[in-house]
Amino acid sequence: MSGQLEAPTYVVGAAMIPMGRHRDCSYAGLAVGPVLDALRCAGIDRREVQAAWFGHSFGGMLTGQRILKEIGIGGIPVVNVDNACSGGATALHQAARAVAAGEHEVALVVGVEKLTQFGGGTLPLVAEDPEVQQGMVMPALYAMRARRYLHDRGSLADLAAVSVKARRHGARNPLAQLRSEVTAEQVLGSRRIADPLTLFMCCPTGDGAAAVVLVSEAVRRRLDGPAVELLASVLHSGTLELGARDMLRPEITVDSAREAYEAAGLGPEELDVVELHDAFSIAELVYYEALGLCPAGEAASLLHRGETTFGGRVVVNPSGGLLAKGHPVGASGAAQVAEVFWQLTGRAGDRQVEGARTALTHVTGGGIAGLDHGACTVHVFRSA
Amino acid sequence: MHVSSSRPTPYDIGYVDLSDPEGVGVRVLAPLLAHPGGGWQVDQPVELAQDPDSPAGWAFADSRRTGTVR
Repeated sequence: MSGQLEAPTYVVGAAMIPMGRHRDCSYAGLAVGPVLDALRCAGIDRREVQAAWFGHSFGGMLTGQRILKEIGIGGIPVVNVDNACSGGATALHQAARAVAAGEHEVALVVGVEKLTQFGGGTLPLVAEDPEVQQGMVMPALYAMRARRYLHDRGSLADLAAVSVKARRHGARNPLAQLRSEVTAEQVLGSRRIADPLTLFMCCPTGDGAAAVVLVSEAVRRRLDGPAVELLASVLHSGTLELGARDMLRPEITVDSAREAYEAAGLGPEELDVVELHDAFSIAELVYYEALGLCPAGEAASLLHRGETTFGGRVVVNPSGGLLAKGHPVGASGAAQVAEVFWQLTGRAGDRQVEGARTALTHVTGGGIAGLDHGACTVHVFRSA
Repeated sequence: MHVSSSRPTPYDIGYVDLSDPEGVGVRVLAPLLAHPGGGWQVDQPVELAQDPDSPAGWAFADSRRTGTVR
């Protein structure tokens, strides 16, 4: 399936709540505010919403419907999407294709998750998976990538530098879960999670919700407000590989990004902003290369030269990314799009990337035995 | 691993590539036999060993420590 959309499709509104530990909130309590704020931002009345997609993994049955009934939206198609961390972005993918195909003029996309329901610790994975039965948790997968990285290419200082950058960016973002800066020494000295990853090299556990309004060309013209065009929308699943895999070359991201660039008609060298899946610090380095931001083996150099922070060639995770903004699984993909909407419409406040006109979002999903990842979504945007 | 929702911690796991004469090979996620002081290295040779502490009752051991690899 091509990542090209059949017709121009636009993001015209976005909102999210500050990510964090909202123990007293239900899924509806998390999402209602962002939904109303995104519609208000777009200038869209709730009665104009023709379909809605909800990304979440742990909300239970009919989460989307339970949220929408609270604000009087009903009688429309509502689809609940579980694709692990890619859930919110998968919801966007499905909604975008429906709008581009002319099925709907106005679609609502929501990502929402409440991880504090588990009390803390690592994400619970599917118990029937043979790797999970051996003790696989997500930090373990990325720790093995980090071990391979340290063996083949770089140093612990590289991993720490990613976290330092993320927290520096997050300190500018009032919606981030972690808003304090940290030093490399603090990162390396924080408690061990999965060798060689320390606590500050791992994204925090938390809750969150983000909402995005997608519309057709005709509706965008009527609204005449801020808009961002969605140029490409790619969703891939993982492919079973029984043999050895290169831990530093995640093929699902490489393939998804290549398809997205082809569909968008622009390459990685033309991007101003990237929001990528930095669930663990090693991931950011690996994905620099997989997304084509630099050649293989040059991720650390790109980072240390300051090319991926404010003032650099392409600002990666100006929001603070998953490491600082937070990572409530199904909400993250939608939250990335909210950040891109703000960046490309000049609404990002203290973290505004000057002159930003193009952006990419990337999120992978899940750990499954024999697969690089279960899902990967890549979206490319341009100022309208 | 120092944090886990599925096993008591700490424990060691890793991907082990099982080679075969045709060179195709299979990768498995396997328990690694804990050694005092750790010391697991990427690309090191391993061999199957009994381990009553692992979920499967077996684990891979460091071949350099067992003396199989000289």
